[in-house]
Amino acid sequence: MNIPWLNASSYAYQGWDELFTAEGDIRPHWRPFLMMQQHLSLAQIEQHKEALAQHLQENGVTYNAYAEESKGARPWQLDPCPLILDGEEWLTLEAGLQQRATLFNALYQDMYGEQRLLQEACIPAELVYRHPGFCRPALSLPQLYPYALFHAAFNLVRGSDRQWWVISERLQAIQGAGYALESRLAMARVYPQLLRHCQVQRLASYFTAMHQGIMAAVEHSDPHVVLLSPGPQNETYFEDAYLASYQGYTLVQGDDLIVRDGYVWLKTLHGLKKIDVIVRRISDAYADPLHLRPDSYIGVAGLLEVVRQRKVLLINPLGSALLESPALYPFLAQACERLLGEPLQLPNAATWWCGDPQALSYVLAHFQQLVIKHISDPRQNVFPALLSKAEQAQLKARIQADPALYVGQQALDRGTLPCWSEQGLQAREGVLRTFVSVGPQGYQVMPGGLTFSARAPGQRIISTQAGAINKDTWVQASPSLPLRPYHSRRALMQHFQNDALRVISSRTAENLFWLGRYSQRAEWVARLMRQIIKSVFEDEANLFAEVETSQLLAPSTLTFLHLLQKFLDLPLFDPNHCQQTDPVEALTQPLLSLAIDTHIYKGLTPMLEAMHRSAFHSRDLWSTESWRVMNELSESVPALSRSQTLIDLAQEIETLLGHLMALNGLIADSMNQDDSWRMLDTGRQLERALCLSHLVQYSLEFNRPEHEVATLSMLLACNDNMMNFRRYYRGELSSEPVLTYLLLNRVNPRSMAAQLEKLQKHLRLVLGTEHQISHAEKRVLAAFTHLQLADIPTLLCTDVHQRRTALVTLMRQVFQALETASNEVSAQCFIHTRKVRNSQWPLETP
Amino acid sequence: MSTDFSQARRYRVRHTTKYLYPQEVSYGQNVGYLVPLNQPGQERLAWRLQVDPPIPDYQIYTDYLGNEVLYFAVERPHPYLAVTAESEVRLTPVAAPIQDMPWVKARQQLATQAPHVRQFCFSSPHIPHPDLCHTLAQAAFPSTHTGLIAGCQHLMQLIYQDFCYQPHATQVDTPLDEVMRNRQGVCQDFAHVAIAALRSLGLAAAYVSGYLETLPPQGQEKLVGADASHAWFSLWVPHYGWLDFDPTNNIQPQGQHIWVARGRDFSEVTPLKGVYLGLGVPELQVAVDVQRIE
Repeated sequence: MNIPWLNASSYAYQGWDELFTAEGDIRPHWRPFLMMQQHLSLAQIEQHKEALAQHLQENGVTYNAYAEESKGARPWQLDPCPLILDGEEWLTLEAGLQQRATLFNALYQDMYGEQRLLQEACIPAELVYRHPGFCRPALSLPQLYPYALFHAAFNLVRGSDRQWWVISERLQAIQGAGYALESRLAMARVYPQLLRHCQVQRLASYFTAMHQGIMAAVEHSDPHVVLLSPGPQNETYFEDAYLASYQGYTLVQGDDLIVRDGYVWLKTLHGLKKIDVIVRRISDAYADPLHLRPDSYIGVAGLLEVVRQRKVLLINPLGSALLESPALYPFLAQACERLLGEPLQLPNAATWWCGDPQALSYVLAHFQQLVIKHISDPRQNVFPALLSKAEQAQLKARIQADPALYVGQQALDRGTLPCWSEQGLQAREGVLRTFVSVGPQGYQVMPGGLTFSARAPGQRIISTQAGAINKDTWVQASPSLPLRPYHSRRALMQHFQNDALRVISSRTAENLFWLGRYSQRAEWVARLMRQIIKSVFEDEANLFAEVETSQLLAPSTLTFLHLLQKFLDLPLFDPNHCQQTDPVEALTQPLLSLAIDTHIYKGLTPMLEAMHRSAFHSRDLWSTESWRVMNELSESVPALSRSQTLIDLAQEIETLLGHLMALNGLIADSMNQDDSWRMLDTGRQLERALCLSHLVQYSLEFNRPEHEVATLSMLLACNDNMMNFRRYYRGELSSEPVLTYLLLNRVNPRSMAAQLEKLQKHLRLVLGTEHQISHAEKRVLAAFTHLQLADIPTLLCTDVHQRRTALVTLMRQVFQALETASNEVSAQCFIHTRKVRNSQWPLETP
Repeated sequence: MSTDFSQARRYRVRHTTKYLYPQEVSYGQNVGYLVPLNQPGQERLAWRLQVDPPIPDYQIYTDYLGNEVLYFAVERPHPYLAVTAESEVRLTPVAAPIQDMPWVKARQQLATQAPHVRQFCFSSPHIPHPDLCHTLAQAAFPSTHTGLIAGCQHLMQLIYQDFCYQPHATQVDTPLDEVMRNRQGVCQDFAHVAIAALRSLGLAAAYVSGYLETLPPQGQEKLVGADASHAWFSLWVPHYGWLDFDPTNNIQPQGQHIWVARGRDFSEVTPLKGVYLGLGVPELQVAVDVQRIE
């Protein structure tokens, strides 16, 4: 094969390589892939890489996604070249991984049960009792048979001798399976034929089987499963949301759950719902602030007690952190013989636990050839060979001060795998993360996994923090490993239909409600700003102002400015200053800062950010397509901040309004009209009615015939009613028809009456009971009644000061009733806002 | 009352903990170590729990260290929480170890002990660095021939002499190094210092949470509720078991100490801790009353 992007000399490998044999031949299982790709140019593959990146970005696949503190959303980088594994070889690896999962399961059962290995000194007591992950309270929990560990991830590297070695495991919050799936979907999108042609084993059945495994472990026939996430601040929140929605589990955070009557409950819009299974994505120590770390805000207080009474199944069980200790490695082979009665199939990297004096002296003597690992903190892993002499001495001193906390592990001579670079394929080092879980027939291995490769040839440290690049992992069908049949997802789908799934947590409801409110508020502010900019450029008065009057700004522009200030209740402009300079110049700075400034919390940017945050908190509810709209909306923030002139700003506001309208369309047309949707729409209708009442009050409070046309057209434009109104009323703009159209006309979907009707309907379904309407609905009903009883000509009557007292009174009544309704919704639905506090027993001694 | 302890004694202990919340609390859960141990020299005759506001039920189970753990939840709004544990125990004299042995030998014998004893040799949450107290340990155990029990008595005496008993000098979470630096604290701190010193030698030592009968000054009536919960430590003696020492009073318990729980340090046997749904920091009142009834 002559492939432009595969040049044996620049590929540069030594020892074992996945693609090439020692003789420089391409390995047979890579041939179908290369055959299909050989006609592509370097530039074309670069395009594929871009397409992958774009696909992932559109789907919002990020690592450290919405870390609200750092705002460092790091996109998930996917290599267009997968890691391909031969099916025959995979079978051996699969068996080794199954055995390892079985071994760790038995280890868990022993450590938190009989402790035979400790009694028989198979494993040193210090190693267990000093490990911070040894969860003593777990010793009082019921033993789980046959499976305690439900899932596990094992990180493997291939030595230059071809052997696969385990270098670490993840047994608490197991991350990566969702990224593996998403990476596969991206590859399938970009290379649909290639995957078929290469006979790649599918991943979907792994997830279905895992779900069946969980179902088999609970007695309940229709269990409610939740996925407990640490929340959007966490680096892998995207994956939490993704897996929850893929598996049909309710995505929750610690605050959403509460322990009562000996059970765990989910706080929902309709009260508490009992939870049967918790798949946790938080580590042991943080799971229960009552029994474990009291400073945990992501756990569930009292969870341990419920687990102890077998009223909830926690996956994985508490205490699995201990089994992640690399100090166990030297003892695993013996433990395997003792617990399973068979030799360990898949070796782990040779490891010396420094708590043993002999091992310590070996580690100190062979420092350069080892990786030093802390027994409970993987962030402290270090290659002494990469350290300076002084740093090495410091590290040695640290180890000698408390040797039991460290291990030395053979730094393996690693093989290489092909990785895409701008110059074509390059050999680099990599780590393969494999996933094992309980399925209907025992432990099953995901036929594939997630491969991380180094950023550059020769680089040894491979971690997401160090910018590792991800690869899809293909296990190829072979004679002994035929392509597994497409597993129907019916089992999962049935589960999707179950009623528990339509339940939304109070937190999600709150986020949706606020998302609705923010979106409308942003729309109103944007429209008001648009009207002001428009009046600056379009009102002829501005052009001739200087000539005819002493004022520079047209009266309409000035009126709108006052209105905007009142609407936002913010001093944005100095009217005197506005009169002394050119109108465009005078308005540029205040309007730009209203759009861009992050400190003006009623401004556009903070509003859009709050919107995105609320949407992200309910990420599992958004489809891929709908998430794109949210992404585009959040891209408006940097776009706005690039504006320098009023013209730029006007354009960006147009674009933003376009995205907001797309969101409106999405909400109206593409969402299931369930409780989630109702909460979102409740927020929207409420905010719209609030904005309208405010603006009507401020703009029509005084009868000023000279401004009437401008004011009325602005009101119509802000409520997005201009076109419709023109179609309805042909005549001149005047107060009475406009006010009727804005407030009472039922044909107009944006009239106040129409919105209050929708609100009542939503609130009845969400909060009401069969016999009684909610407090919130009563408030809306009151507002609606006031409005219905109003008579437009009366509202337009003025007093001696030309003030429309009746109109102001009515608008205030409506506004206050709706504000109260909003508070009632919060009080009734969003009960989780109060945090759990800890009280420790202070010192009282004789 | 006599301090002669040749016959069995019966005690009734009433231990009340009251939390006054700044605002009504809607819900709370608590875990406590309030049930006295059954062990050689102490028999639990009766135990009763009273919670205000009343709760429908509570759970008690034996934890991994052999202590009885109490769990209960208050699932309705309450402005305060009062938890009263009433116990009745009988104390009987226990034979002291027949003879002492060099502490080094005791340490060697620990290696063959069951793992659950060996866990008391290592660091624990409140005692992360036992070596902080190594100098103190060396002073108490000057040579390899020093007897295990004799050295421990010496250690208790050193702490009693060198450390100032200062009721409000420390809090529950005052770290050990601060106690060592300032040489002051309360019974809990002194127990931690002793445990750290013993562990720095590789010996097994435990924290004991319990009660102490206090005697009024001669000629005065004993005041109800004037007692308090107390803390001391246990040393593991091979072929014998736990032997207790009270460094705050420089005595080995003799019929006036009542054992509630034994853990690696305070954090494992906190008398009462909890979480609640509400705002603000509660005010706390504790009253302990230890009555000898025969």
